[in-house]
Amino acid sequence: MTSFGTLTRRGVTALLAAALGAGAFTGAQAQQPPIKIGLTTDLTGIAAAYARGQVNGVELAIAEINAAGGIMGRKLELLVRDSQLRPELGTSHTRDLITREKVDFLIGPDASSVGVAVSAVAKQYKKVVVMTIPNTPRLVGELYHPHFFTIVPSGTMLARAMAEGLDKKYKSIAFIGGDYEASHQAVKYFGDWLAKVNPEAKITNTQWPKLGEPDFTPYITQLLSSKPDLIFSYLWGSDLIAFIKQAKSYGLFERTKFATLLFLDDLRALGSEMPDGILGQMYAPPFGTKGGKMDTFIQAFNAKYNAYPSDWAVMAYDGMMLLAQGIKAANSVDQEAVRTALEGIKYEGLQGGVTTFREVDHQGNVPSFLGVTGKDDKLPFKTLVDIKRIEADKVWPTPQEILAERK
Amino acid sequence: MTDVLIQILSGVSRGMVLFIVASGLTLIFGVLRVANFAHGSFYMVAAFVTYTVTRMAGGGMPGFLASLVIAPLCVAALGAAIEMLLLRRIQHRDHFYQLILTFAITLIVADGVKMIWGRDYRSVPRPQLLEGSISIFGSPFPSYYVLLIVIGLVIALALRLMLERTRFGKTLRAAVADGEMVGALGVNVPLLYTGVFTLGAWLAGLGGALAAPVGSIAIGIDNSIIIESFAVVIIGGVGSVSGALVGALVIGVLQAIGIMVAPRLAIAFIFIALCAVLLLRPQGLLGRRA
Amino acid sequence: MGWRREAAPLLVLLATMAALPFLVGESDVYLANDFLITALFAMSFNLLLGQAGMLSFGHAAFYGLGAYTVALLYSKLGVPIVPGILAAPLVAGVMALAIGFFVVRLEGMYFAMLSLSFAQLIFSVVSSWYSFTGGDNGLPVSPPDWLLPTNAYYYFTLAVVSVCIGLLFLVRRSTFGAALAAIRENPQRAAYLGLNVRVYQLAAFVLAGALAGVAGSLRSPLQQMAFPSLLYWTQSADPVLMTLAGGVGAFIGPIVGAALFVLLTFVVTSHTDYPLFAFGAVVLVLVLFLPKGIVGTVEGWWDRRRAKPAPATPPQAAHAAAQQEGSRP
Repeated sequence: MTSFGTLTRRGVTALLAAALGAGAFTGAQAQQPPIKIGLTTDLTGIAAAYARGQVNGVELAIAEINAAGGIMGRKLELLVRDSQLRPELGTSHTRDLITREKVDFLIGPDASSVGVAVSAVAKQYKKVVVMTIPNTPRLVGELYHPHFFTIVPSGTMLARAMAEGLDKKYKSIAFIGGDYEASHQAVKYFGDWLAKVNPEAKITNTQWPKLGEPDFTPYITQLLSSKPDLIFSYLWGSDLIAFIKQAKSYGLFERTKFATLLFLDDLRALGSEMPDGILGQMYAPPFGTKGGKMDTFIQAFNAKYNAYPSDWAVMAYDGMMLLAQGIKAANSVDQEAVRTALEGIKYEGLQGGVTTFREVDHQGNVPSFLGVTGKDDKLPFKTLVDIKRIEADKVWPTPQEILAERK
Repeated sequence: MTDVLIQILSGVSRGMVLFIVASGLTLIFGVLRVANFAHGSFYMVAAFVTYTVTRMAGGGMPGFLASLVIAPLCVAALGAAIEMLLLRRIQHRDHFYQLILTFAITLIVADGVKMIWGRDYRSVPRPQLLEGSISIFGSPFPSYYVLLIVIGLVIALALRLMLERTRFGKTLRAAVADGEMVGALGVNVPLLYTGVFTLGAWLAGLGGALAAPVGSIAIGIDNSIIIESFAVVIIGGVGSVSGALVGALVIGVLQAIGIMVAPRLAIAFIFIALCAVLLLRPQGLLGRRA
Repeated sequence: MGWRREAAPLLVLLATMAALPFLVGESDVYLANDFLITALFAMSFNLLLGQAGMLSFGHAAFYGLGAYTVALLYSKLGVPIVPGILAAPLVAGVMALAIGFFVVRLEGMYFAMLSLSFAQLIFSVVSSWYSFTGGDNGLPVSPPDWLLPTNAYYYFTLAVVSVCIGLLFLVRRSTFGAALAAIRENPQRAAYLGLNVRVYQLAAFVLAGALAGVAGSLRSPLQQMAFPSLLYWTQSADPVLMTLAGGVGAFIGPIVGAALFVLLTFVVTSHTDYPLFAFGAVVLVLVLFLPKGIVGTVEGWWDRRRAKPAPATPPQAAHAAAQQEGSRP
């Protein structure tokens, strides 16, 4: 794996600027100080794969912006810090980016716990931050502040979208999710929404393996013994992979329907081992949007990193492009001006449609996707077929609900 | 009733992987008196080597068998190098320093794996033959877990024979019982130490290679296995292979049954068992008082 | 002899830290604040290892409990930060008493393992009891306006940490400290001399736990949240590594170790993609080549430089030497 140290990153930016910018920029523009973007993310720890995709997505966006002449004649410069999935490092690095490196804007971290930490620092220093991976409902709820913006479907939205998208024929539903906050919230919001859209359905069994559990067999036998119509899983990453592999030998996927949160990284890791016919819910899969900007993005990403982009790369790219559009619209790096610009922004991103932020919680009206796993000849791994796109306004909490959460 | 049986059996199969890893840890602990934090790293490296080997061999049975041979050997070589080049230099110092040294190795290996294999998590397919399940009183039980249980028992038996019948084994047992005496008897202590550490690393590697096809291969799997392995060693008794077997089965089955009875408390069961053993029988269930 | 030699660097350090905000920028002051808290955490740990010879591998439990005491009091009962910080050592101390009651019965590696298991037990409760503790995403803390500026909170931390380190300094020189040292050198002999070994060890465990609680309670307002990774076992390794790096036998050893580690963590996570590798390599070098730690090595070098026919061996060196003898398993 190539190293993308800060120096390399700067080197790449400089090279690109030199190569593409020769003749295109005047000397005066070249001397303008860059607009600095700070990205604290977890390049170390269990979520490191997501952080890598995120950094690549932001980098690609910045390279394109700079190649087109930057913003207000100024280049963008990215500063990346590794918070190692430790919230305290998230705080220290974000503060340091603001106070020492004097970054102009922040773009979102990786894990939700670090997201909470980064958001708190952004609040204290009144810095605009755009989140592209963390999605705990607390960020838009009790921890919301006016400089916070998110283009990630929140945990609430995803859980409701899952309940919304399921066929009404599933009555007895079992749940399995890592024993941590997000999945406890997920089962709650899922259950609440289910009561609305499919009142006869019941959650009959819940299993809570710890995060990083190597062996799911006892949980699998427990799930199967309750003979559910459907199992809803909030496992992800390496946990989901271990679960699927172990569940296969129990014939779980023949015996019951399985619906799960799913990341592109999981599809890639499992390859042909991924069973067909699993209901997968995804944040922002590149194959979820056909044609247009997405195809160009997939090609550019592949050319630059020799890889198919993940959901995280899609959202990171969109987040950076959207922030750039906000800065352009404000025609300044003033925090309040950019905040106001983002509040009124109409951004046409990779996933089609127009992204806007609503007033109450600065939640972007981003979709989520539900589909069935199957083979696509163009990709070296399984993908989703029969993709249903679930729009944000169908599932996001009402402003009243958000305000009630903040008390 | 069958449910309970299947539950217990899956606990046993989990316990077997844990036993294979922990048996290596307990031997190292018993002979070198080092709480080897790097043991989890050995397990993780073996899992990643398994990934590479299986990919190169193109999956299927040959790849699976090749990885079972190659991955533990790679890790054993790594272990031998660590013992000879690093641990030996400080073997006369307080054990505290050796503990820290192995901890430093876990950090270096964690990032080393990231440098070599990248940050993505991986998956290794099982050979076709071991994909399915057998039927136990009409309930399916995965054939791969049957294999795990068999291999675990074979390793237990082989270790027992080695400890009782071979010269190396006898010296090893003597070293567990009384480290100083072994030195006085003219045994080549450095060779013994290297041998035990290499064997221990090989066992951790075997555990990692066996677990790879049923789990996921990701950075961080070293952290979760090491704490459980320590628990097994303490419960079973330091230096006792039979103790490690008992400890691993206790933890595996306790966890499996715990999930049935009180799911949210399943994690706590292990620690409660551990605390109970340490307080009532600090030398472990099958350990000898020092 | 000796107390001047131990107190002098502390006073120099205190003066330097007090002057720091006038010399450096805000981000460095924040880093220095991080250092102060980490130093207290490491110092409280070394009361166990350096003074009493007890290698605890679960010290992070008390650190985390301190952080959660402030956060829980604040978010559940609306108690302000400062009373929360006062309550933290009590909560951590009571928990240390409960755990210590069991762990001091064991020695050596068994003691380390039992303290590790208890700490992991507390960790799993804190991280999974999400309705009470906020689970893995932590519990937010908002410092009052007067403590919000970086410098204000820095001086507040400096004051609290100075008091606590002063207390540790007095303990080390008290008869209680001497008794702990006697137990460390030879528990059997200490018992023959009429010392109730377990009671002394328990007292040290409680005091160390309470002071780790203070350090933790200062941590959550700094981060503006408490989170479970503060209690995870790898966090327990931190003070062990810092103490080793600075020097087990020297009073200011853990402070120096903390400074090194805070800087190192910061620099390597800012400038490389492989922070653990760099960190591990530094620890490896320290273990192999500087067994007495930075302070111990510098002192040894200093003593040799002063070509006097060595007076009495200073206690630090004697202790460092004792640490090196292969001790009981």
